[in-house]
Amino acid sequence: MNINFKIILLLICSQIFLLLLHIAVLRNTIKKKVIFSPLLIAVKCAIFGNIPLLLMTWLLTMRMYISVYEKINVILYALLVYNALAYSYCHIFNMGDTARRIRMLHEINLAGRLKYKDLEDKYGVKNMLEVRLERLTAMNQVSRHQGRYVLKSFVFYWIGVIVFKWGFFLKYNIYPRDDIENEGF
Amino acid sequence: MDSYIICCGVLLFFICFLIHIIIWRLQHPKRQISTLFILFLLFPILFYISIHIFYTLFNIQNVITRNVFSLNIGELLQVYLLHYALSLAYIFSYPAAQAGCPSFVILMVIKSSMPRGVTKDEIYSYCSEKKLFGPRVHDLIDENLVVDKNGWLELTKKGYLLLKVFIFLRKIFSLPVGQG
Repeated sequence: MNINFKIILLLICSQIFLLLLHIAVLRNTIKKKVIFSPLLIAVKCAIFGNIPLLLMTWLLTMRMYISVYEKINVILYALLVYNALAYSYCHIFNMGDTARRIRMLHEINLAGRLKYKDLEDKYGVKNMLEVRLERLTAMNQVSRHQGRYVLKSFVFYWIGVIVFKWGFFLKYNIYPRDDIENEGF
Repeated sequence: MDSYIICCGVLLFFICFLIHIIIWRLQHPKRQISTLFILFLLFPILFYISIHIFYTLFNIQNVITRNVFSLNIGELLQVYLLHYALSLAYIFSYPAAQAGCPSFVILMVIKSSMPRGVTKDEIYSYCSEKKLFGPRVHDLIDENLVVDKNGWLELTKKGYLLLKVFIFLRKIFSLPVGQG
């Protein structure tokens, strides 16, 4: 088989490996009945997946009579594609866990059909924020002291700033309320 | 492998990315996610076909046609795989920029109150139903996932199918459905 096809096959297999690894780790964590963030587990599995990928790519290039420069290119290519796909995988997984639109579809499906107001009652902003506060706490991004939430890590905060700036650049007004445009954003 | 393949894949992605920025800055398409998919996933194929047509019909030979036709099928697939991997990564990040991810809103509200911190009620007071809830229902209708029948919201076949995919994914992970 041509080396180009071998690399493509390896990258496809790496995503199947990631899926299987994630299922195994997540099911094992659920069995242990400990508090966990499913997304954090997905991210850790995706990062771990780089190790077998690097190993397999290295083994593949070892058998080829190509220059070191070309070997580096193969490894760079494999890392780029794997991590971009793994990032998308984490997003797909997270969508099932957190996406508002998927949750709304689920609520409508359960009821058969819903009035706008009923949907709002079932899954309003309060419910939406409550779930996310719990998730951010589980992911060590925020912590609660005497009833007040404080930032524990700035990683997600800075990702949020970049995403918001990008949204503004694409001409979206994504401030949570119309009247707070200059309050800390 | 030549670095040319990596450059081609990245370049193809950035061409689509640039077209996306130009379109969005001019006017937001009605079906944004579908448009993004069409732009990023179909454009490279159409680009290749159009080069092929120009090359065969008009025998136009320039740097682009020469370089594109110097790639064998395996290399071409590698270019497309890299482009699609980068495109998918962007497409899945896009909804947060479009719709204002509530988790990021919470973090921004907390950051603006540091070091004192905020209570749950203070966070709620920063977020309106109008901004975080309403537009998402309209997105579902625009994407033809939900239909509004005389004030009643009902799933379309497309919406039902999408939901089933996510329910299936949740089940294989042994996670409860509908807690997002």
